[in-house]
Order: sequence, then C-alpha cells, then structure tokens
Amino acid sequence: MNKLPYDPASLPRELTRHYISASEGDIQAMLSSIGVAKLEDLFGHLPQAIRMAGEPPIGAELLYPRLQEHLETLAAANAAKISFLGDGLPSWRVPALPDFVASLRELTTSYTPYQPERSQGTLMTHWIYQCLMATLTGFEAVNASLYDRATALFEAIQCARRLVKGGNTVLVSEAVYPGDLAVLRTLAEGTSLVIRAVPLAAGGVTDAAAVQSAAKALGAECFAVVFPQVACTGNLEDVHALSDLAAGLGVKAVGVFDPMLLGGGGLVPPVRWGQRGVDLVVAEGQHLCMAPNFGGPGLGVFGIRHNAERPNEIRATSGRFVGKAKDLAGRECRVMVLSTREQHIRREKANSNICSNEAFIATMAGAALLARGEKGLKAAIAAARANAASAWRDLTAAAGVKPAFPGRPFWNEFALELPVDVGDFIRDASAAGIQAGVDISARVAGRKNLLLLSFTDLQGEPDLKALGAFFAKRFGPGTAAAPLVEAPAALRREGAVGFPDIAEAELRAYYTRLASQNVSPDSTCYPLGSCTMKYNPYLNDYAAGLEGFQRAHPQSLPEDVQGALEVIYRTQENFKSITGLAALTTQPVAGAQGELVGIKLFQAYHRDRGDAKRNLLLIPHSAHGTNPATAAVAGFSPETGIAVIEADASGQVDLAQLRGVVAEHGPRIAGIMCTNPNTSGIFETRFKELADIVHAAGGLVYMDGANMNAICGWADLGKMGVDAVHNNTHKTWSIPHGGGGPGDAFVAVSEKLVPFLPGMQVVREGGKFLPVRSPKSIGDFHRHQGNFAHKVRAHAYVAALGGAGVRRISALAVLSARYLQKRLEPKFPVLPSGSEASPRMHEFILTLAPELFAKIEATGVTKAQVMGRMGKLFLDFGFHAPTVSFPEVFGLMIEPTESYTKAELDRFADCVLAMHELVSAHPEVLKTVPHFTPVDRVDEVSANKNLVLSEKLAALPEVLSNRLAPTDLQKLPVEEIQKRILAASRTAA
Amino acid sequence: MKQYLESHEWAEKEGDLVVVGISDHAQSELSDVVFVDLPAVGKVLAAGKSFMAVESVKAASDIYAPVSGTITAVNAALKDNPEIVNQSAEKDGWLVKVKPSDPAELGKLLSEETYRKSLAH
Repeated sequence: MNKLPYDPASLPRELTRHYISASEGDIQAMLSSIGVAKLEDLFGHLPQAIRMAGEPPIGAELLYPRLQEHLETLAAANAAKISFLGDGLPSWRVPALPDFVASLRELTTSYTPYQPERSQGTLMTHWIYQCLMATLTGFEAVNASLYDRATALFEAIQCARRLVKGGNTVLVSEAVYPGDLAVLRTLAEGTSLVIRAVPLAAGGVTDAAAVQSAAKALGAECFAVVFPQVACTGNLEDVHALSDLAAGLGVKAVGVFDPMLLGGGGLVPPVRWGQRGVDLVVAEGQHLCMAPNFGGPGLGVFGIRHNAERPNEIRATSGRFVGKAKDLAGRECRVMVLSTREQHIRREKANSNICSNEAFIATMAGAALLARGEKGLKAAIAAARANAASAWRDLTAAAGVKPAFPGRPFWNEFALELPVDVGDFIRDASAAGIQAGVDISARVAGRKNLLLLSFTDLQGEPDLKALGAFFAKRFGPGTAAAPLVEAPAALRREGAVGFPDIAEAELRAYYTRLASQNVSPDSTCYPLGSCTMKYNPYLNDYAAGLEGFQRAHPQSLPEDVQGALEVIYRTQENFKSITGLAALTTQPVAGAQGELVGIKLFQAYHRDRGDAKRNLLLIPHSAHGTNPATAAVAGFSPETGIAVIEADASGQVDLAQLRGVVAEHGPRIAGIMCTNPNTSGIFETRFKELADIVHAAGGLVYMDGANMNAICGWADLGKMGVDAVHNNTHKTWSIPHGGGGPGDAFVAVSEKLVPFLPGMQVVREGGKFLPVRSPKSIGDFHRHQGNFAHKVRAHAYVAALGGAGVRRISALAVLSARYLQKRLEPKFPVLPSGSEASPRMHEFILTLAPELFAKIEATGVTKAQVMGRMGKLFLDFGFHAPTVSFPEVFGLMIEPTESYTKAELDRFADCVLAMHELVSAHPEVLKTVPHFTPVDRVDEVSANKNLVLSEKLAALPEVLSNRLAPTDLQKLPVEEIQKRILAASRTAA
Repeated sequence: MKQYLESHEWAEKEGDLVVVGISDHAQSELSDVVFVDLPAVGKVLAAGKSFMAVESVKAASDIYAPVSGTITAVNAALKDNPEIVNQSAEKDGWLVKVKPSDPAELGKLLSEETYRKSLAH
C-alpha cells in the first residue's frame, strides 16, 4: 500500500463509520427529540409493498486500510504501457498547479456560485478560464464549460439553428471524431434536427466540394457546416477555405479546435480562419489539465463572438457565463450572468437542459494554462511536433510502412498505412508494452490498415526509441524515410498568444486565497436544499488520482484496462441492488443528461413497438426546471408535448387530475417524470398507484432520483414501478460538487428498457471484464464512457458503506432534517402550507410568518426580495445559504444531510433562530446583508445590462479579503454575531 | 384608451396601428428589466401567441400578442435602455407597433377597469 498524501486521523469526518459524524448518543437524542423509537420508523409511512426487503445485497463495508488496498488493487489492474493513443483525447505533460488547486477543498467541494458574495473564489477561477480561452481563440465569450467536446458540438449546432431560424439540417464533416458524431446522432434522433454527415475526401480531410454541393441541394434547409482544424486522420484542414465556403453559402460555420495546439508557434486561432473567422467554436479541454482517466471528466469548450457588431448572439447559447460586476459599494467582483437562458428559469423554453457543467475542470484548465504561461505552452507544442517528426522519420523508414496521406501536413498526430492487419499489429504492439495507436481504417472509404499515432510532450526519447525499435523489428528496414511536410504558414499562428508568465509559487498563493472566499461542507452544515451537500471523503479523491486509473485511455484494448472495466462492472452490479432494477448505464455525465437518457429510452421503446405517436410527457408542477427542459431537448413540443400535473392538499401528485389527463390523452402518453421524494421533501406514498395508472395507458415511468439520499436502501424502485431512474452521484454518492460540476450520474432501468441502453455494458466472462453494446442501443451520450473518475469516487464510497451503510446514510439524512425542522418549527411556518401532516424526508421548506414579512416590507425591502435577503443573512453567520425561492417563491429549503453531529446541527439551529430574532427586532439589517463577505451585495442588474465576459489578463485579478472569515464566524458565540451584524448594518446604512 | 390581456400586456389604437406594451403591474412584478428581446419588423403575429420576451435578472417573461397582424415598428430605445420599461411601462416603454389583420380582435380584450379589478384579487 502507498503512503496516503493526507493523514486521515487528522480529519474529523474521514474515519467515522459510513462518513457519519453523529455518535450513537446523538442519534438516540435526536430520535427521542422527534418522538421516534428507531431509525427504521422514520420510513414507517412508506407502503410495505414498495419497501426493500432488507439491506441491499452489495456486501459488507470495507474500512480503511482495506478499502485503500482494494482501490489500489483495482487501479493496478490497468496496464502501464508506453502510449501513442490520442485521437481527440491525448496525454500531455500537465503542470503541478491543477492538482494543487484540486486539493483546495473550499474550491472542490462547494456548490455552483449562485451566492456570488460567498463564491468569489469559484467565480474568479471561472473568470480566469474564460479570459484565457478568449485570448487563445479570439472569441470574446467562452462559457464556463459544457460536458465534453461532443455535447458542446451539439449545443453549438442548436445555437446556430436558433440564430439562422428556418433550416433544420447541419452538414457535419466526417473529419470530426467518430465518437463525437455518434453523440450528435443520438441526440438528434426523435427531434427535428437533421445531422447530415459528409464523408472524408480521399486525402483524409473534409470534402469541401461535397459540402458545397450538399449545401446547395439543401438550400435554406441547411443552416450550418461543422468542420475541425485537425481532422480525425491527424491531417490539418484548410480552415480558411472551409470557413469562407460556409460564409459563401450564407450558413453558420462551427469550428472544432484543440486548445493545446493554439499556443505560440502552433496553429492559427479560429477567429482568423478565413475572411471573417468562424461563428462558433468548440473543443475538448480535458487534456489541458488531466490525464485521459478512461475518458472523463471531460471539458466541453464553447465559444461565440460577443462584440458591438454581434451583441445578442450570446443569448442563443447554453451554459453558464461569468461576467464582471460591481458590488453595491462599487468594488469590482464577478457574478454569473445571462441566467434567463437556463433551464432553472426558462424550463421547457430554455436553450438546453444542461445544469451541472464541468466547472472544476474549467477551473483546473485555467490554472494549467496560467502555470504553462506563454513560454510553457509554446515549448509543449514544439516538443510534440519534434516528437512527431522524429517518429515520422523512424517509422516511415520501416519496410512497407507508408504515410497514409502522403504530402498532407499534420502537426502532432499522423496516420500510417501498414503492410499487415492493423488489428493484429495493435495487439502485438500491446503485448510488447506499447499502445501503438488507433485503427482508423473505417474513417476513409476504400482504405484499410490505417494506424493513427499521437505525439505530445509527454513521450521521452526512450518511448520513441521503443516504438521505432518495434516497427524495425516487426517490418525490417526499408528504404528512406518519407519526406516530412511542414505545416504551411497560413495554418500557423503568427506571433504570441499574449499569456502572462507567472511564477508557480505566486499562482499557488493566489489560488489558496481564492479558496478562502468560499465555504466547504467540510467545516459546517451547508444547507442547500435538493443539492445534498454531504461530506466528500478524501479517500475518493485519492482513489481517482491513482496513476493506474488516471493514465487509462478509453481506446485501450480491454485487457489493458481491466481495472477500469471492473469499476464499471461493480458500479452496475451495486446499483442494480440498490435501486432494485434490472440494469444500468454508467455513461451519463450529469443528472440532466441522465434524464435525457431515460426519456430517449422511452422514445426508443415506443418506436420499437411501432407505437410512435406517443408525444406527450406528464410532469408534476413542482418539478425542477430541468425536467421540462429535458423533455423539450428530447423532442417533445414545448406547446403541446408536456402536461403539467398539480399537487393535492397533502403535497403529493394529484392522482385524480392524473387520471383525467390519462383518460383524455392516453394513446399520446409517452410517460411521466416524477421526482420522489418530491421537491418539497415529501415521499409520494401513492407512487405505485401513479405508476400503474401510467402503465395501464401504455406509458412508462421515469423517477428523478435527485433525492435518492432520502430513501436509498429503504425503497425498492422496481416494486414502485419505475422504468428508469437517474441518481446524481454528486449528490447521494458523495462526489464533490466542484463549484458547479463535473456532475455525474447513472441511469438504472427496468427489463423493458435493457435492450436499448446507451454506451457499453461491462460483462464478466471467464474472469475477464468485457465491454458489450446492447442489441438495440440508442447510441452514445458521451464521446467515450462518461466521467469515469467520478465512477471511481462513487465506487470507493459505496464500498465504504456496504449494504448497512446505504440504509444508514439515508436514515441519518432524514433524522437530521426532522430534528432540525423540529427545532425551527416554533418560529418558522413550513411550506407547502396545508401539507403539515405529511412527514418530511431529508429536507424541508421554511417561510416567515405574515407579520414578519410585513415588518420587513416596511423597511423598503419588497416581498419578492425577502427570501433572497434571508439567504444572505446565512452568509453573515458563516454558512452557505439554503435554496432560496425554489420550489416555493417564499421559501428557504434546508437539507442538512447525514454528515454532521448533533452539536453541529444545534449550532446551525441556534444560528437560524438567532436570525429570526435579529430580523424580528431589526428588520432593516436585510437592507445591507451580507456584511462580512469580501464584497457587499452584488449588483446583478448592471452586470447583466453591461455584459463583460472576458478581458486580456496581463496579471492576476485582484482578490479582496473576507471582512470576517467563515471559519472565524463559525467560532463566535451566536449573540456576538448578532451584535456584529447590527453594528455592521448601522455603519453600512 | 388602453385595453389589456390577463397576461398583463396592453394594447392601444394609434391611427390604423396598435401599440403594444406590458402593464405597470407586470414591470413591477418582473423588477429591473435588463434585456428586451425585440422582434424583427415584419414579423407576423397571431393573437394569444407569445412573440417576444422581456427579461430581468431572474426571470424571462413571454409577451403575448393582443391582436394578430404584422409588426411595423419596434421601440429601438429599449435596446440600450431597457430600464425605460420599468420607468414608463405604459407610455415610453412601449414594445412594438402592429398593423392588425383583424381589428375586431381588439374588442375581445379587457377594459382598463376590468383589468385593474382583476389585479386586486
């Protein structure tokens, strides 16, 4: 076993059983306070028929150090070989800074920066990423990330379609990676979008003539053309000609680039492609800051122009943007802007269903670019080229080995035509310890035995020698090497990028200061309802960081990645047991994407049965905005494809209304999407009845599993009639939130949907793990197999829980919530009103009494502002805010999770009661909250009116200090905090 | 004389055109307007269908056409100064002018008195 990079004994929550801090004494005290005899009774209102018979059969928990050993053994089962695998996910030398940034817990474990005053750390790391990417590409607006290159490409295509208005067909050159094209096809299926792929020309580049004739034939039906800078053959495209071709056709040009290659001495930036530059750009950015990690988390880079000439195209985009802002006192700061395009506000009319993004990978990529600086990036690009050139000379000199595309320029990846079967060759090379490359024969019509090799600054002299020696041995010496084609000057960048070169020590100190502007669930209850901000074990991150997992390339031979495949296999098996369902896909990279997988499975199931007219989805009124947004992305009409079902007096879905809708629309119903427990924290006790009604009409049942932390181990989703469910592994299964992502999910399904699962299933045959595809698979949602590193984290967590722990975490989550509710109820009414009799699960919604609202409004704060201001008051007590105004406009939703001791929950309750006392006596404090954050309340109105989404970074942006650090606030007596708030408020007023 | 929709738009005849905006109540519910998504002149509207949006920081409000017809003018001042909608929703903050295809549709709208009463509930 390795020595751990941290001391678990020094971390108060790391060695507790099931990562639950409450002692047995705490548990008994909380139970008796709410009048419940034992943990099991917390679930007493769940119908017997849908209860899980016992602990889910996933085996006993593993404790430190056996758990550490288990994880290391899995990682070591991946082979360590010299690698020339790239193909869109290359391995570059990564500076130390991103890993250091990933050790700053206030940055990794915090939520999306919806509370800007307590999230300037996260916001600034995204700002840095946006600015550096804008400088690199010349595109003024690069969003704070999408999932990966493939889905970013889909979003860019959708954006282009909104801008052009009219056409439905996009021409996509097959020069893009086949994995990306597969995702586009999957996402377009069942919608009005048509993906028309244009095969490669014989020279292994985009067939410009074919694009032109296809576009002309389509006329106004064609709205965009997609092409890359580096083709999937390694060849450089003539980006100028292709960009001008699109302009000439009057359609949008979407360019795909590789950010690593845009540094000094590298390739021409997309803003200079052709006469006017392309309209939209996308890229993969994972390799800027991470090893392949068996495919993810990736980093979807997305850019669009945003300037005086094109001020409004930005509004057709998806994803989060960080903008420059000022606080009420005029201090410069950052805030998320343009939110009205997003699903949580626009629901079925949103530009996309994306919610969590790849925020932390963007944070790391920004750090990696800063650490490299102008000089480092230039040197890396030159080293990659030198390695490629050196290998070119060696390999093309082997007997019978020929350049696949003679005379074509390339940069750091090239294709060879081998005189033997390329599959055999790849296997032989692997046996000799070399992952020689990827078989790309199928990418060019009429060709065979094509091998694509990737070179970066990571390979050293011995690696290149080993590769050369293997070729020489295998093929024997040939004649002279083929001539090396230099990249034409027109395809190269002129001059420098304009990145600063800053010393690593300064950067470390800077990011450390940024971290201090956030709060982490490590230190205290982080009460964001519906977000499940539980403790994120250090061991998970340690496991994900193991070399064997990190270096695994998703295009390796299965025998080289047995450890990775076993993690996926165990994930499938464990969650089948935990959900009670038949199978699952581990490919989705976010809860929202999991929903889309589920709904597309429904569509495929109905299509397969010849029942294609089912174009209506039922969604309860209290659903999170992502549900209707997902329905729209899947192709359900925002006007006629979604029926909203209201809640009844008990706070549950109104079954009478549901029956009515089913009676009226039965044959049109594709299915229902229902969150359980619902967004008010109430378990839908009649879920089975609901499922039976929908099934009887021929529809299917999707359960949004965002609130799985309330029921795991107790409710059997199979018995409940669920056909598909997603779990956000970044909620229930302890993955860090990363300041907004990367998220992660799995989707579990009933027998009916098993044949249609996307991605790969891992099966075990003769002791070996093998990837297989389902017979009627709906395709792929990720260029590879999803956010694998997060599957490692989730596996590490589930292994630490065992069957007993799965039940214990949900029981403690419910107990903690009910205990807190009990303590707060005397002062705060609970919403939704009228549903007081329905027991709450893991979260609850508080509001204020009408008299208190009136008192606050008398100070000039409007009723609509009150809850937002109450949220800011939590920041003044050293906490993050609860979820404000969702799902109840006048509510605060609180979810404590299972991670805290009774003393910690009591402190939290004392603080919330103190807030009530303070506001009752001095409602005017809400005019000036928050008082102790680095900035005052942020002026979001002016930030949204005057959008500034990037600037050239000559130096590091200024960081302001906390006026009182959260860690200090957490130690102050409650009365002292009240006094200080009052004093600060008087000064501010 | 202004007439109103339950969805808080107003419409007023101006010669043979109809001027359209949002009510003062709607602007106050929306709070600070940061962007008005003005449609193109020439766009054809169908009564009761959404044809543009007005956005604040946390909300986007769809605007429904009071009458069918063709847009002949948009309030270009809102491009740079969307706050005019807050300052003068029922006058300077007008959104579009429409050439109605069926002027009789105006008769189906709420009177000012009926609209104001509906707000009181």
